[in-house]
Amino acid sequence: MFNLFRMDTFRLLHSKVTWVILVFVVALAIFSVVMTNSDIELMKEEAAETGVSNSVGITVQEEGEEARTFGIAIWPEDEWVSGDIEIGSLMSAETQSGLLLLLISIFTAIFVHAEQKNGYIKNIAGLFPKRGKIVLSKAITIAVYVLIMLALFMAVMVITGYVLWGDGFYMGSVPDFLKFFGTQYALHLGISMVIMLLCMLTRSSAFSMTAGILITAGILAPVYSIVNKLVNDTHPGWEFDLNRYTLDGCISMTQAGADAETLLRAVIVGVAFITASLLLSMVIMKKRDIR
Amino acid sequence: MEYILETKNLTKQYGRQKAVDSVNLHVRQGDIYGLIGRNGAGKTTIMKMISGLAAPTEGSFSIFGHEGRTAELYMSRLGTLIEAPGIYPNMTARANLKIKCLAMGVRKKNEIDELLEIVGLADTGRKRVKNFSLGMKQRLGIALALVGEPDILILDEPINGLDPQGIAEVREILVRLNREKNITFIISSHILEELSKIATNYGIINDGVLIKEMTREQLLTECSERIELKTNDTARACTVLDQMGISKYKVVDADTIQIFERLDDGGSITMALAENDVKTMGIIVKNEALEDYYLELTGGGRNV
Repeated sequence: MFNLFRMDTFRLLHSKVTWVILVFVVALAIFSVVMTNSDIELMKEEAAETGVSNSVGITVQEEGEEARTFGIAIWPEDEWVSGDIEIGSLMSAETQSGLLLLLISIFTAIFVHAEQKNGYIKNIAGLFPKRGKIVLSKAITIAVYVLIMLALFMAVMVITGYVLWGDGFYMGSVPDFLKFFGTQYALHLGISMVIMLLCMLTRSSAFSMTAGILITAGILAPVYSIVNKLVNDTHPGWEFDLNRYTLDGCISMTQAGADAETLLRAVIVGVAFITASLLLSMVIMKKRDIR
Repeated sequence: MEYILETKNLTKQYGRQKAVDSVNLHVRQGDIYGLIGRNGAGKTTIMKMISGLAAPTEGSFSIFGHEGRTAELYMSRLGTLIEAPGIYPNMTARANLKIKCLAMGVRKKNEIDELLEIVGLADTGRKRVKNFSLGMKQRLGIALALVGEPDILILDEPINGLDPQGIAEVREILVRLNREKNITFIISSHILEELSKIATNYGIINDGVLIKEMTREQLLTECSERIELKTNDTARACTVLDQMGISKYKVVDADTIQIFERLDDGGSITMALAENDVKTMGIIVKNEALEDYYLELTGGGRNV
């Protein structure tokens, strides 16, 4: 198992996609903070107006306490106009945007599929009768990389934020921030594992990458709405919202400083999807013939 | 342990079609076992099952005398090259080998250098595999199969797509490895003449069924010698042969008869034909080509 992890780590470090994606993470972090700053400036000028975004793609805003944001967008908070921006709230807005999730989807699809596409899997699959290990080691490697991506994304945003806003950019509660970071990590990793599962199931990086991008953009939101309506029509007292139990929903709705129940639910969702996707991927690898 | 690798009623079924049907292979240590069959005969499927890349539908195989779960412990003693080499094109040959070394936990110093030397890729340096020729890629595939010093090497059509020089280079590598390291080979090919230059044993596969297993010596015997007689009148020549008591012969075409007995009696045959006003245009003792033997065995000759 450790040998497989070393193998995947070596491949990770020697793959172009690893470094290209990290460059894009840095660029995206800088870009999103700069654009957020532009929004804040615009909001200051148009004080009466709210809800302007530097979005890419379709954007629809829903009202509500635990409102889900749709599309790939960053939603600045009104209080930022005052010039005081809490790091946790900025991190919330940026991670909820889905920009980082796009890169995670792309990386995971390419990294997982490369072994199959190039046929290298034929060199190693026969060595490990318990083929599930091959998937597990890949998952661990991806988990490490996603952690690096998330940490780098946030670190660059913090640095850029300090450059742009100086002392107005401050760290609030560190424990709350760490809880938020851990929760978002579990959720982002969950998406990554789902992408890995799709990749193994379809043997296609194009399908899994596209699915990841569309999920990030909120393509499943109408489906969730239909399910919500069906359930709530049948059981009005339940106030059921499927967004609370899905990865993309939780990513959009989990903010820094959220209550313990929300964070715990999001972590459980993340861990559940990670576990289910991983187990299914391992079964597929074990049962399927290697092409 | 009589056989280093043995299959017992090995079967692979896809839906209703049996790609491999109850195959029983027997490979001894040090053999270069040639698996012969046309495209789609089931050679690759057999190799995939033995390599652990595909699960048999029925049957089993043993390695070093061990079957089932115990055999799984010995899978690392197998090196495989199935179909096209599995290589990362944007990496160097060294990096590709390094990845497999890491996976297998091979820590021997200079292992990669030695492997590159064996297959003649020591000078590739930082050249990426995507810039390799087909022959170089095949050799890298063999090097990958050699990682971990396997006892058995399974090579699926290793000379596919190679030019004559490439074929000769690969052949030389395989023969040297068999001689110097006593590695057992299972090589599949549909290029019979090439396989006949190195194989010590043969398994002939057709439509998923193992038709015959034989040693090189048995094959040479079965690709029997014969007299090839060319005359101007095959009908009268046949009458003369019947009068001489020769019954094992075959009329090949309008002017050629193949005679499978009394191979030392060419002079007598010629004289008998001349006495009956049958001209002998040519007479020679020949061996049956491996290809002809294979086609006859598999019934493929009827389509030629």
